[in-house]
Formats: sequence, C-alpha cells, structure tokens
Amino acid sequence: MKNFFRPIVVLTVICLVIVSLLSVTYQVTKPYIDAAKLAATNKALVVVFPGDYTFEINDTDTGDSRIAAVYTAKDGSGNVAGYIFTVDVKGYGGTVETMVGVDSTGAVSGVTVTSQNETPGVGAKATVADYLSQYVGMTTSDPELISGATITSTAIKNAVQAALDANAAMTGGTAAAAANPEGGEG
Amino acid sequence: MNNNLKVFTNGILKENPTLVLVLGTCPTIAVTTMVSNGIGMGIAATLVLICSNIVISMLHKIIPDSVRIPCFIVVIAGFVTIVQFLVQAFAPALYDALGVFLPLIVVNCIILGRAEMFASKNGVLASALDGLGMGIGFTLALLVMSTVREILGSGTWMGFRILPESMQPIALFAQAPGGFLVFGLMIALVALITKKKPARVGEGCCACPFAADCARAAEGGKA
Amino acid sequence: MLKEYFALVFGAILVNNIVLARFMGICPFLGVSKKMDSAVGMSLAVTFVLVMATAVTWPFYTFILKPHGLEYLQTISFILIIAALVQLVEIVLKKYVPSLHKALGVYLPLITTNCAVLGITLSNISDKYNFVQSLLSALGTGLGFLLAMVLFAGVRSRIESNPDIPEALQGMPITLISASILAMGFMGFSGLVTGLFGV
Repeated sequence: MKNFFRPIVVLTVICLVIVSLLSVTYQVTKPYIDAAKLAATNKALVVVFPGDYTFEINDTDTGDSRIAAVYTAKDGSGNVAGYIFTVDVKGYGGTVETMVGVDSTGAVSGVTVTSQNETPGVGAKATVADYLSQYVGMTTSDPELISGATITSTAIKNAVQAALDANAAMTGGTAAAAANPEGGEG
Repeated sequence: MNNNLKVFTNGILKENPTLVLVLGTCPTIAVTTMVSNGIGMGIAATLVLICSNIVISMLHKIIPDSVRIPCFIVVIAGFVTIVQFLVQAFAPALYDALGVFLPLIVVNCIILGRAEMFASKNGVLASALDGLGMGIGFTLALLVMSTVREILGSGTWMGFRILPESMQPIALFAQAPGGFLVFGLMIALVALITKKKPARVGEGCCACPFAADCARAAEGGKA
Repeated sequence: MLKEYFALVFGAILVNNIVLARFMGICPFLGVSKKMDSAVGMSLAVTFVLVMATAVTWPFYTFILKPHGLEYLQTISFILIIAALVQLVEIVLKKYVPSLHKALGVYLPLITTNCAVLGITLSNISDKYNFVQSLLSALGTGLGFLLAMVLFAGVRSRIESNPDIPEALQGMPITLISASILAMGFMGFSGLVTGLFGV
C-alpha cells in the first residue's frame, strides 16, 4: 500500500510547491510585465498618431471581431483628434497585430505592426516602417502590395480597411462627414 | 575539479546536445532565422537547464521511480514558466519572436534527457555544471546556425546589414527548407571535425528518457 | 462557415504543415519514419492524442484558468494534462481494445514529449480559436503529420539503403537534407487555401 501512495503523494507535493512558487513569481513579475506591455503600446500609439496628443482607451464595440482595441487621441484642449485601432489579421505565419491611426478627416495618420511572425526577408518586408508609410493620408486602403509577399501585405491592407470602416462607423459617416466634428460619438 | 571541468566542457563539443546528441531539434530549426532569437532561446533554455538539473539532483533520492518522469516534467515546467515571466517582463520583443517555442522548452529533449541521464544520478554541483555546459553547447550551436541563416537569408547579423544592399539574400535560408539544410550540413561538419560518425537517425532523440520506446517504435511497434 | 472550417483543416495539413512549416514534432518525424507501418502507426497515435488533448485543454483553459486569472499556469497544466491523458489512454486501450494497444501502444509514451501536441494545444489558445476550430486544427495537424511521415518514409527507404553517401553525411545529415527538399515542395502549397476557398 505504501508503494502505491508514496509516488502519488510525492508528485502531489512537488506539484503544489511548484504551483505556489509560480504564483509568487507571477505576482512579483506582473507589474514589470504590465509596464512592458504598456510601454510598447504607448510607443506604437505615438508612432501611428504623431504630434502632441494624449491617448485613452475607448470602450466602443466596433462589431468587428478583428479589432482588439480602440484608443481616442485627444489634443491639448481635450478635443478628439482621431481614433487608433488595434487590428489582428491573419498573415502567413500567424496573427499580424497592426495599429492604425485615423485622423478626424477619416484619413490614415499612421500604421505600424506591433506583432508578427512573418517570414524574415519576405513577408516581414511588408511590416517595416518604410513600406507602411505609404498608407499615410489614404481614406481607402489601396496600397502597393509587395510581390512575393502578397499574403502579408494583403493582410495589412485588410487591417487598414477594417480600421477605416470602424472609424467611419464610429464617426457617423464618410470621410467628408467626419471632417465636420458634429457627427457621432466620442 | 578536473572531473567537474570535464563534465562542463563535455556539453560544448564532444557531446554537444544539438549537433552530436541531436536533441531538441524543434527549436533549433524554428528560432535560428535570426541571431537575436537564437541567442535568446539559448540563454532561456540554459537557465531552465541549470535550475532543473540542480533541483532534480537535490530531489532524486526522494522521488519514487514510477512517477519520476511526471515529477521531472513538473519541475521543468515550473522553471520554464518562470523564465517565460522574466522574458515577457524584460525582453518583450524576444517574447514575441520566440512565440510558442518558449513554453515548448518544457518538452525540449535536452532538458528532460539531461535530467534523466545525468541529474538524477549525480551530485548538485556536477549537475549544475552539466546543465551549464550543455546549455552553452546548445547556445553556441544555435548561434552558429542562426548566423549562417541570417546572413545568407536576410543579409544581416543581429540586425546590422552585412551583405551589401545590392546583393539579394537567399530567402530560402530563412525559411523551412533552409533550416533543415543548414542543420544537416552542420551535423555533418561536426562529424567531420570530431571524426566520429554522425548520429544514426533515431539515436539522437533517443538520449531521451524514452529511448527504449523509441527503439521499439522504430522497429515497427512489436513490443 | 463550412468553407472556413475546410480552409482551416486544409491549411493545417498542407500550408502550415506541423513538421515542414511549423517545425514541431521533428524528433518523432526523424526517429520513427524509417518504416512505413511505424510511420503510420505513430501518426495515427499522434492525431488521436492531439484531438483528445485539445478536447480537454481548451475547456480547461477557457472555463477554469481564464476566469480565475490563472493563465500563467497554462504551460504547466497543459503538459500535465497531456501526460496524464496519455497514461490514461494507454491503460484504457490495454484493457479494452488490446488490438489497438498492440498497434499503437508503443508510441504513446513518446507522444507526451512531442512538441507538436503541447505546441498545438498552446497555439489554439494564442490564435484565439473557438472549440470547434481548435478541434479541427488538431485534426488537421495530425493528418498533416501523417502526410509528412508517410512521404518521408518513402523517401528514406530509398536514401538510406544507398551506399554512395559520403561518410560524414550518412545518417542524420542526409535525412535532414532530404527533409529540406520535402519542405521546399510543401512551400509550393502556400497560396492553396486562399485560392481554393477564397478565405
């Protein structure tokens, strides 16, 4: 009987010790992990919406499951200057997480890729700042795709369009209407 | 001391876990597309290896044989999770780059294999040194492989441009086929250098605790 | 909807083949693909464990870990579940389906440390698949594994009986080089899912 119980007891004790060790370590490292995530997000927000703005999380449900988060960009006087969307799209090697900023005229203010697993030298070429800068100013997503990296560049094209559509829905209309700050929710 | 030194250097060339024992093949091919990822993975795995070797060496006398593998796995998984926290907190870019392969260190044959082959039979200091040596061997192998693949496949090293802009890199090296190819050639190279025959297929991953099962399985499952 | 599911399974088998594109399950791929019947036996066992592991780990994560903020216990709990499941399956098979146990039983302990099983169960969560998608991806992965194994067994039986291979390349190196060529072949599938299903 001892032969049967002892292994199970030892295994269980080891499990319990390890799991408690993990919860302690988790509590200790969580603030650092959260800080790192926040820093990365803030860095990306500034890249896609350059200028002197503050950002806050926006709880609007855009109805598009690809949009993981929405941020409002506000200028110095607290006016809404635009919205930023975190869009997750399926690329070649997994999820491509993009951040797309749309200003108050309904045009793209910036695009950056915050997480990707695309092929280095191929799909990854579509995720660099030089390539993504072509999106600035677009009101419809119509980029030049990279030949040989069509899957990745198309994914990003779709992400930007999703952001533009969500922005239009949130600001109550087309780009032209969005230029009049009267329409829509903040 | 001499013996311990031998234990330490063993893992670097003579019994290099990746190129001689051929353990832990999955992350080797997956993360060596870029040097920074290769080194990151190597360091993470070395940390887990040293810690788990130490703990298992301390506990092996009280762990009954029948549950030894599950116990080893729990200890290893614990350390892998801790390393996951550390990387996520202090090197988030590496965390993103390694993806699922960071938690997969749990089933990396190198760690389980050394726990079984060495740590469960030796003292704490020797086990720690073995872990360090094997970890360094692993990291070196990853470093060399990723250097080859990054320079040939993307023209950069650690992000710095090496090949001139005009030279088109051979993207294939940064992708799946390149991984297998470079790995195979490196094993052959090491075999040439050490003048030993390269591992027979099936021998490598069978320095794992499941060696007996592997052999049986390879022979067609006749128990 | 159905189209998306088909795309998922096809994608897992051909485009994102677990061994040749995602680099998981390489150990058994290299170790057990020597003979055709062991290749098939191992792949079927892997598929079986993959689907069962997904069926248990996905609900465990969604209904137990996540609601309590215990996501960080993912790695350790998943591998324990997989190890326990494999043990359980072996015992059940031995007692109730001895014929199946004889055919597949020997591969089962190996599957616990198979990167593919832990890898897919973790990926299902990080890719945010729902339950059906997770099961389909597990099924597709297993079938992809089977395909790669069978193809490779064929390749290896020709290569390894060849006496002209230089000594330094014999064994693991030539096997890996052959795998590299097979991987190249599979790269040709990249546009397949989008082209066929428009997804």
